[in-house]
Amino acid sequence: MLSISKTQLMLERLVDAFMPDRFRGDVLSERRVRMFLISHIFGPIISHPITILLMFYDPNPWPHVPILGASITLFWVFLLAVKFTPIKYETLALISVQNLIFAILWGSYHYGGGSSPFLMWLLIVPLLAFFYLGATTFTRLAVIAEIGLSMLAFYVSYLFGGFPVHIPLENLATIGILSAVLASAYVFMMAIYYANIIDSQSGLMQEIERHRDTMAALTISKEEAEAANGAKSEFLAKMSHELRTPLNAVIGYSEIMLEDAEIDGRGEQISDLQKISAAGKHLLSMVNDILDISKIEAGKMELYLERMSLDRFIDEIEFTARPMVVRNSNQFAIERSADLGFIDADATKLRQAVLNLLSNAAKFTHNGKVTLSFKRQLQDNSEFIIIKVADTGVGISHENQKKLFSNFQQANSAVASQFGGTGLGLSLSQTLCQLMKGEITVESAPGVGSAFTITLPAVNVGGNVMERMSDRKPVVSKAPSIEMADVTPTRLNTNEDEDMSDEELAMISPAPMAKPVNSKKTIVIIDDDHSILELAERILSKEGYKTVLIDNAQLGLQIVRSTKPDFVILDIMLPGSDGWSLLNQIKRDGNCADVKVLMLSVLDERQRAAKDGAYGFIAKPLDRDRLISAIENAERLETIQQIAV
Amino acid sequence: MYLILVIEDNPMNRDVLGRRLERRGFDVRFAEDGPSGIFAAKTIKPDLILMDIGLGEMDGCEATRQIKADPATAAIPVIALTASAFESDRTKALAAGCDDFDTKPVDLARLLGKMDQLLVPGITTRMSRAAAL
Repeated sequence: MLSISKTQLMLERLVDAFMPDRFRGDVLSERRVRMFLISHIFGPIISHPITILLMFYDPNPWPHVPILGASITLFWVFLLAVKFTPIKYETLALISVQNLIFAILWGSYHYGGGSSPFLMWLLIVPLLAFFYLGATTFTRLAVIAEIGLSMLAFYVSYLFGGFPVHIPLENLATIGILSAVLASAYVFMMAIYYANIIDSQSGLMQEIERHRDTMAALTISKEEAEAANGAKSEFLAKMSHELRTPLNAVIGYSEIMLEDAEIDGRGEQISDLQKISAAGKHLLSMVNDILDISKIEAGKMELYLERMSLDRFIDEIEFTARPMVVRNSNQFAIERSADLGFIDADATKLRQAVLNLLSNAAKFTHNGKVTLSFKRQLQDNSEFIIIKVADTGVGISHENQKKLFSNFQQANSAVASQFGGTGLGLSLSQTLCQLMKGEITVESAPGVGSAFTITLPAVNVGGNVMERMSDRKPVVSKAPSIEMADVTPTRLNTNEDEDMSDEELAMISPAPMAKPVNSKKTIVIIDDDHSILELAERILSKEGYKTVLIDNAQLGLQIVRSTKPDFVILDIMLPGSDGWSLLNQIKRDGNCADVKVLMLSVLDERQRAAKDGAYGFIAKPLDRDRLISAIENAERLETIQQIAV
Repeated sequence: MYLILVIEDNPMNRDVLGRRLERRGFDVRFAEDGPSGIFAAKTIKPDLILMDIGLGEMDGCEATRQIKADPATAAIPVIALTASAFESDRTKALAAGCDDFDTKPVDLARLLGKMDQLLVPGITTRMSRAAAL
């Protein structure tokens, strides 16, 4: 036995076979045509049994029974006509309704007249008509007219000749009952079919309605989310301002008091004030980290890729990080391969990531060694820059390594209380590197040390570095400066007491006027600190100067005499002899009295340098800007006395 | 001695920045809002302006725009100072004509480095000032 759903499926396929393509997709028309097709498929099947019975019952069936049969069979022709002829569906439907009325009244006229058991079929006419055509005004009028006129014709023919009696009325009982059953079955079937269609369509409608609601809800939540995100960004900007303003005062005043205390020699206050200042700066760095992470989460972190020289970058990093690394009695080694060249990266963000790794290494290593190494490496036909920060510090257990790059995760709370920090730095650094299409990986063993490795593509895959650079409004400098404006290193550990002679910087050694031609100039650098010698050598040789490095005063005079350099950079604090006496010797020596000497010191010795005949003064800590600008300034000025106040 | 004009609405920030700059040999003058800052720039002709971006009604960007639009003050370098470190603020400040940008709280060494770079054309001013002294 076929299941109902299978029967239904077969029925649907049959209806589909006759469904003209022009109605598909139009829900309302398709529903009407579907009703038309199903009633036309089953109408003759259901009513033909009556015709056949009449052929047997009626002693003289010719010609009225075959005419009835032909009329009923005609419904099948409508099926084909809808599918295969260009006749309008509405016209066909009205003709079909007329044919139905004809068949009913023809049968009723010949079998029982006004009391015919077939008359009840008339009830299905308006029903079917509205199924086929919908209850439009035109349909109503047309159907009423068809029924009315046909009934009129039926009645008129009765008036003018009465009803013929082929079979006596009382003998029509069996056929009458069969007709009633079949008519009921037919209406039943049509009604169920209609109900099914309505149900499925209203289901569809509900589904569409639900989707519409969902869409509306989604749109609203999207707008809400965007608004919330905007509010979050605004809140962050505001919070940043509100937090930084009081921090500004805390850090600023503590540093003023620190300077006062240093000048007045109030040693016991110095360490307290240093703690206030350090705490303020720590708080500031946390605020900055939180802001950075929020910016990344809000998708607001902007990337400024530029092609930058790694050698320069490393110099800056070294300058910034060295004091921080050596503080815990650590050695600081920098290894760089010769072929480093360039990288497409956001200098600020890369610096932030590298300095963060170095800061961690410095924090967790005592009496050990921190190594920063750079190399260029070919992987899968792409060039990568590998930056590795290795230390010999406390190390990280395998288990804790997994948690390292999550926000607010330090290896454990004991670490946090011992070493401080927000636990945001590594996560932030990792995200920054990921923004630049790179990553940070870690290798570590407890008690042995840790190595963090940044891997970055050397060339930006997007290839639009220049384009992005042009998006960035260049910093306009009055000076035809040879520097990018943002290369001034960000210092993690601003130590104001080292900057006591910054006024010298302002007074004596402003930034360079133009890039000089340095090909022939020789500079002798005399300092017992080898890191200063190396740094100066690296900076100056890149600028085209020839350099001679000397680490003691005795050798210094000999070399200055023999080489007659253009400049001497002379540290004041030298073991065994001080810089002043060496300056004096140089100035009194007939061979080299005209050599320009720039004094180098952490102390404010500008006045004395001027008095003793030095040509300039460079404040420590030494960096590229100070060194270059001091030398270039010296080239321009006649003597330091001219500008001495 | 360089003459620096600090345009900053927060008295505490003015005080701190002013004292620290004076200690390093700068002659520092102050203005508390945009309009008086623009006026001061015209009258005292500072060597450099430190401009707080988050000023009251007229913000630092607008004040900078006006200073840079006036031929009498257009050549004075302006460093924008703002408490927010968002890149967009930096871009805005530079678009307004600021010559450089720094964030607050001031990292004095970094700010001095930036001032240093911008004060170069003042070398003649400085020498004449020195001669005058």
